[in-house]
Amino acid sequence: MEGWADIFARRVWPLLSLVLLLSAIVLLAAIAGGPLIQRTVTEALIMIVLVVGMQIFIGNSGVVSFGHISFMAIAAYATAWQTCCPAFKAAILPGLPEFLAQNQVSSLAAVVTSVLLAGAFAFAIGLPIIRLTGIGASIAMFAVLSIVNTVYSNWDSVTGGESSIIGLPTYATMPVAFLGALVALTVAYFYKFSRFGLALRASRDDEFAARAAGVNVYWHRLIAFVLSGGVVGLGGVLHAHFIGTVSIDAYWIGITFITLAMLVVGGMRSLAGAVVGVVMISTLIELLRQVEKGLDFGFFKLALPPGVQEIGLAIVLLAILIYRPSGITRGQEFTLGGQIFARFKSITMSSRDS
Amino acid sequence: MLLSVRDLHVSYGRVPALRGVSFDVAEGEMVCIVGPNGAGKSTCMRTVAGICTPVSGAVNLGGDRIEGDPPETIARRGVSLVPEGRHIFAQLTVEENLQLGTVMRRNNKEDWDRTLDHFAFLRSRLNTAAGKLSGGEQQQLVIARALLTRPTLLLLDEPSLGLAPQVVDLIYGILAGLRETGITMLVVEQSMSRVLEVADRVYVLRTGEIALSGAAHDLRQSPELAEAYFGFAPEAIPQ
Amino acid sequence: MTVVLQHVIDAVSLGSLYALAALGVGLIFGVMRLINFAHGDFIMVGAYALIVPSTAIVATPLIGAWPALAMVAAILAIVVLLALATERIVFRPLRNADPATLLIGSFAVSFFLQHMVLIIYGGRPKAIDILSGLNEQVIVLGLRIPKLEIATIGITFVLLSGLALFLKRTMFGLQIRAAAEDFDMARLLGVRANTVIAMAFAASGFLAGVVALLLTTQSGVLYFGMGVQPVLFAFVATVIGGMGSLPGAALGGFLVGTVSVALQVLLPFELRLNRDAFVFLAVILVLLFRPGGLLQSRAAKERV
Repeated sequence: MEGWADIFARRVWPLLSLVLLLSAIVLLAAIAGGPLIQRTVTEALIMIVLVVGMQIFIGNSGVVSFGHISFMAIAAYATAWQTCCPAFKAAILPGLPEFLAQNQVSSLAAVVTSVLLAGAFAFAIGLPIIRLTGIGASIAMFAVLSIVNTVYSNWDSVTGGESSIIGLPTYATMPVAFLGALVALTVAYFYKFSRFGLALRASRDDEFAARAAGVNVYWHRLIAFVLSGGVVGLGGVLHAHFIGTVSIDAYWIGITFITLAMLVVGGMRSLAGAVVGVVMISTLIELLRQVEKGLDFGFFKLALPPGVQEIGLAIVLLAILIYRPSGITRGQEFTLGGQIFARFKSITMSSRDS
Repeated sequence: MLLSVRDLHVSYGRVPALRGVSFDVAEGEMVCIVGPNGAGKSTCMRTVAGICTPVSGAVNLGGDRIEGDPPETIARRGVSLVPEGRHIFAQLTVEENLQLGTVMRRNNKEDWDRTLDHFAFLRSRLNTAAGKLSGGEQQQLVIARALLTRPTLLLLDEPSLGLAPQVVDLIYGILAGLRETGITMLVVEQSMSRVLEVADRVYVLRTGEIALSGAAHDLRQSPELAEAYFGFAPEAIPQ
Repeated sequence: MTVVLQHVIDAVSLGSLYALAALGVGLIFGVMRLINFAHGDFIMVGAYALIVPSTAIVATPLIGAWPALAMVAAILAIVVLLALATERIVFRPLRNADPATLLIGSFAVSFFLQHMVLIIYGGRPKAIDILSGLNEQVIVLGLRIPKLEIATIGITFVLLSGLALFLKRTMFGLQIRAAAEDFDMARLLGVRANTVIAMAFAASGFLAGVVALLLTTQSGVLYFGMGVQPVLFAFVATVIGGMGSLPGAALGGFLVGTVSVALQVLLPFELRLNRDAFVFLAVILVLLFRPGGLLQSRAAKERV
């Protein structure tokens, strides 16, 4: 019989610990950090939404999708179409259908519809792609990203082509992003520990055994894929309303690489990995950004050329892949263990038994 | 002593497969390791051949320590493993499969002819894709291929696996013949009866440990053997 | 009629280019089960080696100014060395990793190479003119064909034949084929893992260098992201052709080239810019009906 201490340690703490960690960071930034720090934290929180979204599919199925940012793009443009002012739309996006061009929707409604659209898109492309083997699916997803990139870059009348859609309401402040991160974590957590998540993870570790046990691998992968698409879409919406503009080159290889690196460095198989990865890599990028700007040591200045950030990131990722492929968290969630808690557990257990 | 294995510990990740296994094979001997499924017999073979690296312990070949060496290095010392499941190159022809036996030494025409004489049926199938041969034919192909490498130590992992009884007879006839030529062999089998008729000595492996060892003809009829294999005496089974 | 024939030759030429790229990817996949994302960047580095390293707007040819034979030899050598170095530094330590790790690793290498080039050469596309004689047209049987297309088809034919002969008739080729089918068993027969993998990378680098030269001659433009499209098409070609199958990779390349040219011709003008998107769409459709590819290789299928 599982004591409540066990339940707390293994079921509640994994999610609670991450929430507390993020709350601590946000509070610290709110109290002690200036606007620049708060901006960095907000960006990191939005990255958490994206990376957690990716983790839902990649971590649980073991299939590395190189195209999840296409969901980000789809949702970002969707929210842009809905929340951008009609005057701008009439001038720059003449090809938009009437109901979009003439209306401007509340941000909340835009969030919901954009996320649903991303999920629907994930469902549509997931149907053929999930049938492929792991590697085939990875390549196909990269092709999907490429398709989205090409189409949106050329469909000038509807997307503005290679120029940006500007003037979006920038409501994604730190508290909003924090809320988004909480939503993403909660969804991911409940999925992972549901019987759907469990079935998928079984298939990740041994597909044949899972099939033999009656798991329909295809449908389970598809479910995770759609859920994942929606959450990544949420990240796209938040990102669009953080920067205030939407432009297609923001949804290509750069962000794909950074989010994937964050996931892998933290540990693909766990939510803790997603969060830890984002925190660590964001810190690293910020550090390197400062180095690029130039560090003044008084008697000499250290400045590395722009582009060092990306080189540093690539090297860190390769190092992790070679020396610690399961990531910093080794793919484990945060569970409570150790001396103090064991003692605590034994006290509560013995008082129950006697 | 050609092969001397001492206190071998091998794990797959965190799962221990061999827990302190020791055995010897003298030159010219045919030694067999028997045991139930999952005992670790294949792990023994793979470690000797270099596919698995032990956590601790030593594998001595003719006085040199070889544990942890890459498989191709160990193969070049004259160790030839015929792995479980035959592992022919199904998409290559029979001839190409055999040619791969000569990678380590120049294609010696005498060796080639001698081997093909021994396994005469292969001559007519040289250009057939190896995947089209029957199970028994494939088993003979891989033995022929292994012989072409002129091994000092021939390792055979479950040579009778998946083969019909008459075919197993054929294979063991070949092994008995090989024994006559003085080649040193280590054979691993799940099914004891056949291999005990040809082997010199036997080790019984159970859950990663040696449970019994001795001369094959001593143990052949002995109840000790069954007990070591199954883990309980046959008398313990209620009638 | 002549128009159709001209398009056919365009298709064969483009298909040849993609076949070469796909083979470069397929060779490494065969021996290592690694999909090399960085292959496109091998091509890119091969192209950039033609100019003097500098962020100046106008590119000054470096190796690009050498006599043709020396230039070709140098570029091929550089890309082969790059491929071997990548194998030694990144992929050897990852040799026993699972496919997902390998894939991400090659993506990291790709990212690294692109940004190195970005730092050294700058982000603006640069113009370069090499082997310009090949861009002239010849008139053959009433058709106007760019010499480059004839060269591409010819070179591909020679390389494909050479590769096939090498694989089929030499001992090294046999070892590579065996390693591609069952790597561990090959090692047990004394096939040296390091040698076989290095050979595959060297061959892959060679093919990438050839593609770099052909692409640059045709387009005359260098851009740090120029490897993405070729490598994506190469991946797609290997997936259609059947992973693990070298003939499949070549066939896939020709198919992708043909579909690409066909779409270029048949698509209404407004949609032409999206041609690549349609190629991928067509590929996804193929995969709907034959997820294992057209020439399914038994080696690529897992056995329980």
